[in-house]
Amino acid sequence: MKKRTQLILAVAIIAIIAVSIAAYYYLTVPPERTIKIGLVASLTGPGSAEGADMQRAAILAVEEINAAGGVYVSEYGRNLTVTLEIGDDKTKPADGVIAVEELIKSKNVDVLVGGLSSSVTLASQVPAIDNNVPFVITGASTPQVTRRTDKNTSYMFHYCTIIDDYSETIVKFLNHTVRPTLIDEGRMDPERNLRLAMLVRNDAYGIGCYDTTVRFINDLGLPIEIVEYQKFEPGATDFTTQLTLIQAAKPDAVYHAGLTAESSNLVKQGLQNVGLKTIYIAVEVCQTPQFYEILGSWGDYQILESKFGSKAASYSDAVDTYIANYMQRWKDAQGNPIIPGMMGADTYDAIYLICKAIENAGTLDKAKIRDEIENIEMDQMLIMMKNGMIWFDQNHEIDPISFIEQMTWNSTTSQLTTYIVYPDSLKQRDFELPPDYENEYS
Amino acid sequence: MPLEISLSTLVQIVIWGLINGCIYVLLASGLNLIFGVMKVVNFAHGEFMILGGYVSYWVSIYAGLNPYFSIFVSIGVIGIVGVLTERVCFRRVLGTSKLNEIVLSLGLIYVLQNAMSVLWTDKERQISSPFEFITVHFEIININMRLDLLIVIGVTVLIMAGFYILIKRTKIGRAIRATSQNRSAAMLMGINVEYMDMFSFGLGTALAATAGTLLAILFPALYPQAGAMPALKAFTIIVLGGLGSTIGAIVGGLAYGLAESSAIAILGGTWRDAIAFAILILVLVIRPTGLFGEKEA
Amino acid sequence: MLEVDGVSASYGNVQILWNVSLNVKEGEIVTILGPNGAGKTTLVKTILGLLHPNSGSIKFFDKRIDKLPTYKIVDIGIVLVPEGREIFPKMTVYENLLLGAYTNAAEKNKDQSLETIFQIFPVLKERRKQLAQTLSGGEQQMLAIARGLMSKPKLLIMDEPSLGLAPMLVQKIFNSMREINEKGVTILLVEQNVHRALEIADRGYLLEAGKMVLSGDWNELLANEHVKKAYLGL
Repeated sequence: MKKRTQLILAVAIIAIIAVSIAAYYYLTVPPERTIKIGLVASLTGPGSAEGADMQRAAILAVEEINAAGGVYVSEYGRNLTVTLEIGDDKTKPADGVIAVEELIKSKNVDVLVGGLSSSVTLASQVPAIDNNVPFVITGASTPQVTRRTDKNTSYMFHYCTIIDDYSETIVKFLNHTVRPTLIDEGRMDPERNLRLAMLVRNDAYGIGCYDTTVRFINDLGLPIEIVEYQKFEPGATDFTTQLTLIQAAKPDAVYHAGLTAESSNLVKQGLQNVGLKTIYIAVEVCQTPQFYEILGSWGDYQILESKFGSKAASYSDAVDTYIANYMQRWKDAQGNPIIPGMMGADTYDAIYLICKAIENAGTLDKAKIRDEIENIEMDQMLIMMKNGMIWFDQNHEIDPISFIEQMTWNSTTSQLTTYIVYPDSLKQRDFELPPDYENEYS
Repeated sequence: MPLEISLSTLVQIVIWGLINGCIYVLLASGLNLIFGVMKVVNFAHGEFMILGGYVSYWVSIYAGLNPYFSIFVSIGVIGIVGVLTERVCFRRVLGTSKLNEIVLSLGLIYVLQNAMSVLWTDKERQISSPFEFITVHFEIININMRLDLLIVIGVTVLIMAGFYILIKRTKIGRAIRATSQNRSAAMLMGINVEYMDMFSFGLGTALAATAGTLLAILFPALYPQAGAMPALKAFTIIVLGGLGSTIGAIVGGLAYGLAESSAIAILGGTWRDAIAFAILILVLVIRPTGLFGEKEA
Repeated sequence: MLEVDGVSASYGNVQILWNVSLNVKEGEIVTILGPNGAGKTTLVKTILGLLHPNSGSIKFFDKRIDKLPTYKIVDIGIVLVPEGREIFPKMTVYENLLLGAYTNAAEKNKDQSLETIFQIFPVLKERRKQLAQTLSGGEQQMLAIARGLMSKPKLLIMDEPSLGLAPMLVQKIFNSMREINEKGVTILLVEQNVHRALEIADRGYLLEAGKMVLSGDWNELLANEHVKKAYLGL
């Protein structure tokens, strides 16, 4: 064989090998790179009502985004579709860690969203922190999730109200609205403090509600005193003894902090078993269909602090559209539409903001996505913001508007509806005392 | 904590204690019966209780039966489930080794919990009573009581009286007691002790079903995992009352309910479950045979 | 009426009985003698179905009973007054007696049986409302025998009824045994007290280390050199 022929042959062989390798790599690179969003939700355990709502809202958001063509990522030069991976934290810290690790390690998610319950999320966020995966927390209310001192929380973002907001809104409402009403109706000596009782879940969330309430009363110098403070264990179903002790303290109102099932049942037991006829104030965590369903007519005249009114009369076009789409998409076993809750609304917004951040980043690089979430600036969606914009402050927290709703039982439709009674800027109706209300003057 | 509580508050706390105590009495009596006769701790007792609650829930919804009557359907259904469980599962491992019996009853917990999850989901449910909105006023102590609370106490008294008569006054009751006191002597009397195992297991689970129904009428405590804590408490109660003692389970159950509500009142709501273990440890240290137990028991 | 033929039995891996045979005829008092640990209690437990034999057969009125559960054996008329009394401690004397009449046949005659029993053991009548655990040792033994009689047995097996009793009581119990026998109940008596046993028994067997080593009429056994040396201290 001639040298020249040999050379040609060698070059040809090398070329064939090179082309095969290139082809191999080209073919094995997944042709459909999608944006993978991992949802951390409590699908079982005491938080399952909230978790199911988050799941439904997330699926709805992803379906809408994909129907509109997906998200343009410049690095790929085209629109990518969004896929949702779901991890169940079972409302337990240990299972939360497992769920998040699985989402990161085996599902290779690009970004995480969700996380209900403060104690569960404080544990489940750790694998996300350690692996530098951006996590937009939409359920846990403790400010600690983005303010930890033991871990670097630069990849953590908090897209929901924090405990401070609940308590601030509630004490302001008590002082601004409840107190004058009581005085006007001759139920209270104007000289004395408003008597508030608290019944909270024995965890970071419940105790946090108590601590912040005390803080805001003192900081704002409000004429409110906490006359009784009782706790219950997570998952409790019997609150009668605590409520009996609260009754003995003759409060003007009860601020209770539980998850949906706990809070709705304690109100029912207070009215039904103990005969404690007062104003019960729930926090936004309870904004779920189950809350209204369990309460039924016992919810008449009762109060809910919230920033998303699924049962309220119309106050925002975006919310109206969302509720209509959600109820169109999700039906229960009997074919009745399911009513959206607040944590779902948070999650829905968060998925849109994540997609916007990815579009801005133009890549699926996690560090770049993190930067773009940090610098996000977009119009408010379901959750109303104080300046009308979604943006994160130096604590990676948002600045939403919370309001107070009062429930009304409609006996013809057998449904509870709500009206915003505070603040004045959003007010739809005046706050009214329940007709059978009792306090020490009764 | 307010130490200067009024009489009516005190009375109410006692009432909550006794009402929870009623549930515990029913649960502990069944567990105690099964333990007495078979010498097996049925760790899955709480699951039979919840299953009984679900049966009543179904019957009251789909057949529209008053939940207090649906108790009897539940007693029948869960009694049969209990009998079958004994016949198919426990009889085969009884006496082979304690470990087998423990593994079996622990295994039953998961089988039953998962089965209930599939049938009824994990959602908390409550059986709605037709008397939901009725309260009774007691002038002397100035308290209002929900009618259902009084009915629950009444039903418990009736069921326990029936159980007591069955155990103490009838031939089969005598045979059950004989089997629990001395199994081989009972065999020598001509008692079919395996039949007694089966009967006692069915009767014990039927009592648990009653407890489950009453619990679900009072509290939204009906979900597949809800049985674990009450079962643990029932176990504490039978240790407290003395293993195998019928009266011990009744007094122990009521005392435990009172201890629980006083613990919430004095120490706070977070002590509700912790108190079970505090009492258990205390009793085991002070009187290892239980308050009503015999030395040789 | 009772035929035990070549029975071997074990507890777990330990074989206790080796090819044991014996028979009891209606109306007899037959005794099984033997030292501690010879397997006498194992033998009666095997007859009652508390233990099932590895080999051999047990027949009662010509029917195989070695595979029957205990309660069925009791039902057809074999009753054991077990060693160590085995009463129901937390039940009254009366309830213990009622349990003796648990089988349907016995229950029909329970009033009549009670009358007979209270004649033989008047002390039980006095104490009928007391808890059994409050009786003295001798009274508990009487209760155990009385309870056995309540079931109207065809064959009454008594395992060491004299164990741990005062001589006066032993005498009383042996007297009552004779009375019971005269009322038509066949008795199989397991005893260590050879002297007394052979006083009332028609025939006897000697069980040693799980094997039947000797059998015969009472006078033959009393005359036997081995029995004399080992059991009568002569």
